[in-house]
Amino acid sequence: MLEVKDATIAVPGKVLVKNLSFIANDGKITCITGPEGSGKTTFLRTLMGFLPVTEGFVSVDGELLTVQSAPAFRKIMCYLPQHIHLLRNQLYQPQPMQVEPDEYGVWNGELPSIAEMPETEPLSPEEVLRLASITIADATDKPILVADEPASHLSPELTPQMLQLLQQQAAQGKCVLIASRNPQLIAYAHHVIDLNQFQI
Amino acid sequence: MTTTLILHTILALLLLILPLGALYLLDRPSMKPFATALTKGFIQLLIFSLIVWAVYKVDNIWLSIGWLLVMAVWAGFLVITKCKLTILQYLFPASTGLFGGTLLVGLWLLVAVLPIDHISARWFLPVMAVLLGHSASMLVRGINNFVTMLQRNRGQYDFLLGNGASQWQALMPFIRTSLLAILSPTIANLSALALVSLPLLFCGMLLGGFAPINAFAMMLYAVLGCIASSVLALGITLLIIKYMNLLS
Repeated sequence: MLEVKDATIAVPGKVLVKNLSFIANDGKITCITGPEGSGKTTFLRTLMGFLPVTEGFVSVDGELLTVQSAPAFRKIMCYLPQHIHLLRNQLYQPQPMQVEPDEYGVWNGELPSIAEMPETEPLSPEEVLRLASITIADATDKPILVADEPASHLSPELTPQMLQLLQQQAAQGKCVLIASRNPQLIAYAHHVIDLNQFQI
Repeated sequence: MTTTLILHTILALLLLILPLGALYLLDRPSMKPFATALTKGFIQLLIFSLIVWAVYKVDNIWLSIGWLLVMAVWAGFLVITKCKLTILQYLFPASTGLFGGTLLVGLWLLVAVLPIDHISARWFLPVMAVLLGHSASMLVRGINNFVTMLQRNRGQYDFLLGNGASQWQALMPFIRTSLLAILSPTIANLSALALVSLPLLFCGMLLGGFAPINAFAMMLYAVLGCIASSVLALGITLLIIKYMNLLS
């Protein structure tokens, strides 16, 4: 069980959420929703202890979660980030760049120029779903699942499969916490928290 | 400098007639930059030789280590400048990595591998200079790869942390690619060894009076030392970068 009590979350120069309280129960899907830029991702990152709460607190099974204590709590969490499609290196080992032998240097005094590295190619929707499935499968013993916009990089045909995956996790008694604007995911969540209601 | 040496230098400079003559006939505007570069190179070499001569003359191990420290800081500065990173933040890790990696592997070569009675400046300087030069070249590739990959794939780092990995475990994929970035050119260079890659050192040893078989052995020790020191320099640098919290 994950509890948020009177939490205020802010980024430099802006308060995103004020006095937010809710309990995400085990065996249920809790969905955080709100328009783009409303602070859903920041809020999830706060729940995972990457960022501190300005006021209030977050607790997991009654124990206080802070930035300092978060690494221990993250061991019981499974996390699917918003930009999961950029995690190509999680599915495929990056290959070293092909290099040519150094040119014959008379002085041997010149350092090599830095090589331009190619951008990482995004994953396809099928690969995104595969990575999500692998990550969830690797976390069978973890009681909390946090997913940030789990359907945003999936095609409409694959979204029900992701929903099914999340429902299976909840059915196993896990606390499933998602941030999403996807109507399908919102409709099937047991508990919906609209961040609009907690903004100034 | 003896009169004979001056005479020989003048005779060597006569060889410049060929490139300068060719430029005079074919591309006169290039003569000035060519001459400037040559002069600059000769002056740098002369200054370096004078410093080495002074260290040789004193022949004190602490002075030699001091020389290595200064060279490591300078090499660290060049590496960080080349990688376009913040001097203030990255100079210490890079210089310490270069100094530590070169000194430890160099001492192993001097104490355990090379058949010498005691460590004198005559052995310390060339061994350390070869190791430091190679380690600095590799560190440019290693640090650049590590920092760029981490900046571009920050999501992967967060993903691993978010799934319960320790900071070390989350850094491992980036350390791996960084290690490959320094070992790939070494492999490429070693495969071209017989052709062009490191013959200067070999030729230098032959000129210095080494028998070819001894030059081969020294070459082998130098190559192995270079590989080990570049890996150790990268390891120490990344360790300090991590503990100085330069990644957050």
